[in-house]
Amino acid sequence: MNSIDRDTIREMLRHKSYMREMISACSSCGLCAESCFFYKNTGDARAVPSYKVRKTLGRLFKTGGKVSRAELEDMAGLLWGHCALCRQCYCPMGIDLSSMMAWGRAICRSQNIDGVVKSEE
Amino acid sequence: MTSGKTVIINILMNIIPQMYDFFAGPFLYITVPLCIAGLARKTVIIVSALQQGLRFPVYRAGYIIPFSEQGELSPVPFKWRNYLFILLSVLFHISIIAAPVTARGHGILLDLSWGILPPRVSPAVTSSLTGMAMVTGVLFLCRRLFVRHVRDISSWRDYALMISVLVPYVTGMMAKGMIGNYEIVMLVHCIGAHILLVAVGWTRLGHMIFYIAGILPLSGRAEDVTV
Repeated sequence: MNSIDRDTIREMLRHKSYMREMISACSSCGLCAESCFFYKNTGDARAVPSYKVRKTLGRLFKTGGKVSRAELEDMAGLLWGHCALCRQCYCPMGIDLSSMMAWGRAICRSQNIDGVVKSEE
Repeated sequence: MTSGKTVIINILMNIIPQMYDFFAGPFLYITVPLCIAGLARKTVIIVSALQQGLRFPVYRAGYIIPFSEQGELSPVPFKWRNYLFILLSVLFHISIIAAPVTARGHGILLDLSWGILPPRVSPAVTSSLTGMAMVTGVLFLCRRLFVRHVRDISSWRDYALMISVLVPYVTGMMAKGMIGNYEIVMLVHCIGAHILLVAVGWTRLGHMIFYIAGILPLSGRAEDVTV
């Protein structure tokens, strides 16, 4: 299955529309990076929590859910491959980054994308 | 016969005072409501989200990283540079709010427009606050430029917003010290301040609303995030 159900994505985004405002409040201070063990251990900028949220849920909000399956799979790579949902990410604004990443995962799952790398058959 | 350059300078010299009169007065009736409307919109969104179950997380200053570099559970306290950043942040925010409130020039404009004369504050206090805003703002910019993980997640918007915050303070200080062409400096000061007002309402500069919502008891609390 290569197509994606944009109506479902849009509905899920609408259900948590306040998250868009939460993302827009991020001032890129970088404090969340120091609380992320993925970033601490890899030094990979893609593991910075604010980066992960902006490039996944933030992008979905920005496009209104109009993303391709390949883009969603890239997002899943960030959400599963660079986050353990340990809920350690600290934000001085009180933005609950891990909840947003969990919602990003839920959106991916709704499209049968779960971040698990499938072996080529 | 006057040269083209002289004509342009004459036109500018006639236009700038009129522009200044407009931006130092009536234009506030557009930008202040815009700023308030933007902040009110954010507040309404947060309040309605709180009713839908949004909870702000609770943090401890000393949090724990599940797997440290040694591969074991170990507490990682806030580092000194985080405390320095918090101190810098507090000083920056106090000064950017207090400096325009205490500026005597702003008080005079208020008096001329509405007959409200705010309490007098020594110009030395205003200058100190403005200087503090500039110094801490530049330090923020340096942090964004030179700390790797901050630089990695910064876009041109972050730099543009930081510069838009600093412009009114730098030009205000320049005007006080009569540095540069006074009319042009004041015009840039007024336009920069209007841009900043609108930006506070409609961009991430309005993060103050989230900060306040996060520390209010009515915001509720998610479970303690420390493992």
